[in-house]
Amino acid sequence: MVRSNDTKQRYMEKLTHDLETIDFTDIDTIYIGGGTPTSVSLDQLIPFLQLLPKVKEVTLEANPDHISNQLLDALETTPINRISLGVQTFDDAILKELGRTHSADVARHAISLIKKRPFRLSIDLIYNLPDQTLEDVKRDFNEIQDLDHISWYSLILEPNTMHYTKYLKGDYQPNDQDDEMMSWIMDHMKQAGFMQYEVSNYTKSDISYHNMHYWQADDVAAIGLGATGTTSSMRYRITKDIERYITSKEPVRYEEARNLPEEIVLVGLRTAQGIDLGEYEDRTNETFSTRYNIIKLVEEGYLIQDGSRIKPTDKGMMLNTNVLLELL
Amino acid sequence: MALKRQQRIRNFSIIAHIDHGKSTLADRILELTNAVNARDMKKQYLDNMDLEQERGITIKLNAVELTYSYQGEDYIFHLIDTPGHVDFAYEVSRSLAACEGALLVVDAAQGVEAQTVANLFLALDNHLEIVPIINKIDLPAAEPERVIEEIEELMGIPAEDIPLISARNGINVEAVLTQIIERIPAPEGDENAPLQALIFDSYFDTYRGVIPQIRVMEGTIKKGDEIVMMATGAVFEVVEVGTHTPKETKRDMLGPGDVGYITAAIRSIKNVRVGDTITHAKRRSTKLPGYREMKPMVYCGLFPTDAGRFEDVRDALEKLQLNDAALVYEPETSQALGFGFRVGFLGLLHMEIVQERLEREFKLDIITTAPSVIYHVYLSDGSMISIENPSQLPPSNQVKYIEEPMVLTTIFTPNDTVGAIMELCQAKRGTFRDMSYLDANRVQIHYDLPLSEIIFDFFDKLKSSTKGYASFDYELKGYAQAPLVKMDILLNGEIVDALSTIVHKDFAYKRGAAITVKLKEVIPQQMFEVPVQAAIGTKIIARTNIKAMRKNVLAKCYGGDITRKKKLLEKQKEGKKRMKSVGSVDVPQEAFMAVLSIDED
Repeated sequence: MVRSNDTKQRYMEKLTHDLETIDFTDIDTIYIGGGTPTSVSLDQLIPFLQLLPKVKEVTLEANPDHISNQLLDALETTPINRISLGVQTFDDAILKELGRTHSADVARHAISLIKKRPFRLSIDLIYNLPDQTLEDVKRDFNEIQDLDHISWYSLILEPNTMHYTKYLKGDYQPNDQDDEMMSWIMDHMKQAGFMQYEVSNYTKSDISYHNMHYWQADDVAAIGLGATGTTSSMRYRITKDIERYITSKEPVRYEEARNLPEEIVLVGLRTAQGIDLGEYEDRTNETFSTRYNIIKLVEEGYLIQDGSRIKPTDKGMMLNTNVLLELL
Repeated sequence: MALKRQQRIRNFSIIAHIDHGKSTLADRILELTNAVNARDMKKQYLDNMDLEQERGITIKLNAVELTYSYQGEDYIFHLIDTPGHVDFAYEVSRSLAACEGALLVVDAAQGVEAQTVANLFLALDNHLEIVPIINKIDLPAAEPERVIEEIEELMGIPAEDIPLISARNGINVEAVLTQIIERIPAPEGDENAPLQALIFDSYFDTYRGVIPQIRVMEGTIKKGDEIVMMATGAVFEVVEVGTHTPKETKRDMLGPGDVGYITAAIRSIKNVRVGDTITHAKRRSTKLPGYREMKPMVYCGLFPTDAGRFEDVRDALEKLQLNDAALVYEPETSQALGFGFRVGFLGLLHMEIVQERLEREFKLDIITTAPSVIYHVYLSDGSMISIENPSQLPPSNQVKYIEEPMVLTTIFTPNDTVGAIMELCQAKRGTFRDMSYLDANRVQIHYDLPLSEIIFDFFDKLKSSTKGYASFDYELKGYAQAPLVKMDILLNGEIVDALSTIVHKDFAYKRGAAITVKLKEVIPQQMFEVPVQAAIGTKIIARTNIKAMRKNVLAKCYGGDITRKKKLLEKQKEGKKRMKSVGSVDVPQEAFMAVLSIDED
């Protein structure tokens, strides 16, 4: 979001206005991310954050090179109680290749600053990077042993990304160790005392309650440019056109109908706790087995039935897409 | 006007090597005769099939009637377009049989090429007056003097007044029109004689039925006439006669020398045979010689991905056959692919075009198997069977020997690429025949090659080893014995009949290794490990493994990712639908053509 200061100011004003329209009665988590926190000045950000209600979990997304004692001091005056830090890797060469502006040392320093403060901390890592070997993954693994929460994503080749463009030009070969790396990470994180509570998320004690709402297909209200939210019947995305966002009285949203029975399965089987059959019934007014047949997937070791819950096995988690193709 | 209508008719085709400018010249002629309004003028008007415009080639013939004023007379031109590719020599001869003359277009830079020669010989066989034209004279590399010499050499007569033109930029195209009038004879034929009209093409219209395109040789035809198709004996009453200008234009009648269409409420495709003669039921003429029967050279299996659409494929093939007499097909059953058809084609381009038309015009999802030539298999009991599907080859203990079709290829190439071409032809089991110089820089080489080797990447290799300068043509020569064996492909331990091929013994190991590696690339990972093997009889000669899929999951899935995830799932489902389950393995369409695209180097 490279914008003039004036635009940023008008944007923050509109955001503040939209914040006031949200009914926080049933809301217990808030997530502030998607570019806004790092692209506006502290003077613009902090007053906005101070307006947030104090709920169970209020997360701010940040990059290592934005973390300073000055920022952390300011954040302590707001309801923010959790920081999600985009470290990506502790390998300087790969960081440079990814176009990141921070170094491994900057990331280490940011982590140490945050750890002295009353914030919960999660860091984002990426594996399956170009030219990354399993040895590199092991080095990243060694760096995070003292932390509590890690989101560790595989780099996926997607249209309109830098790597995709390179791939089309023949300058980048996707790593073919993706499966090996994921299995290594799953095994070693567990041995190191982390629990894998979702495909890409590991914790020692403390899950992301906010993200858990997504994986339970709960309703999430959204404000801000390009943000996505849901109501019980539909999913909406807010416009990505900043001028339209700022000047429209009514929110400019693109909506699509939600299909809850499908969505619960789509996101629920990404989590270790899986899907609760009773809850499914309450929310959809149908029994799970009238729509889905899991017998074959259980027999072949992708899913297990544990009391009233359907959970993925390790294999079922790694092959989540195949499981969904079989079910949906 | 002093001349009778028949004296003012000129019937001609344009023949050329591919890309020498045949369709562009046709466009210019259409413009100069005001046949096409400048606003309607789409580039290359005669190529009206989507595929033709995209590929820049002419597949089906089209005929237009044009008028041109010259020295106070309105001349009537019938321009009958012809395909330029070697696969369609048969269609060229169909067009030429309806003409008195042919414009032979030669590129001023490239000179005489293989198909220039092939098409010229076809025209001479049909006793046509040849009007050579040198095109693209405004290219920097144009060498008209050299090309004139080549043409004189080729035709064996001095070439006088060859028009030097640029069809693209409209330079000197009028000279071509003048030569059409002055050099191509008016059609002969007696309007009072019994009707004798040649069907040189036909097409299907949902409302009016089969519409034959005809050239009247003798007599006249008009609305209400009772006509008979001489080969099939079917009788019809003419509903309408007309010409294409290029729009359909009704006429009162068509007389000797006229080229046009008739409608006669012909419902069944089977009643109209291209090459047949139309005459009056009450006053019959003799039958025209027609065309030589065209035999398919390559066969492949065509299977609907959706087994329920078998009948749709049959209907589509029947419609295509209407104006593509060279297309033959019969039902075939494959253990791997289910019910489909074994289809015969004139060549590879013909095959590709039929496949694309089935997919585009008939909206069919088709799986095609690798093409095969027709082998003659001599059995121990002394009998001979023809095999166009490798999986039908009897067990080796019943086979005495196998013969394969051979072609004589003619290659035109710059002399500094002769070494590369010889190397290629040797590698393709060729036998050198002779070589001669066309001029100081260009050489004509003849090789005998097995047709099956041309089906594999011969043309691509020829182009790449000569930087695109070589051109080639081939004709069937006969059959020759060769040490051939059937190579089977096994997926997960089971033979996939649709992947069997017949290969030369000495090349089997190399090809087996290449195919198994290629299959490993194109078959997606399955939930279990899949061995891919090539075997001759019970002997495994090559093997690879497709690793089991261990990971397939979207890394991130938060609020905005759910829509994306749904799309991804739909895409994967769609992809799965286009695959065939062979045993327990999902195999994509490309796998069945893998054998064609392998690189053994």
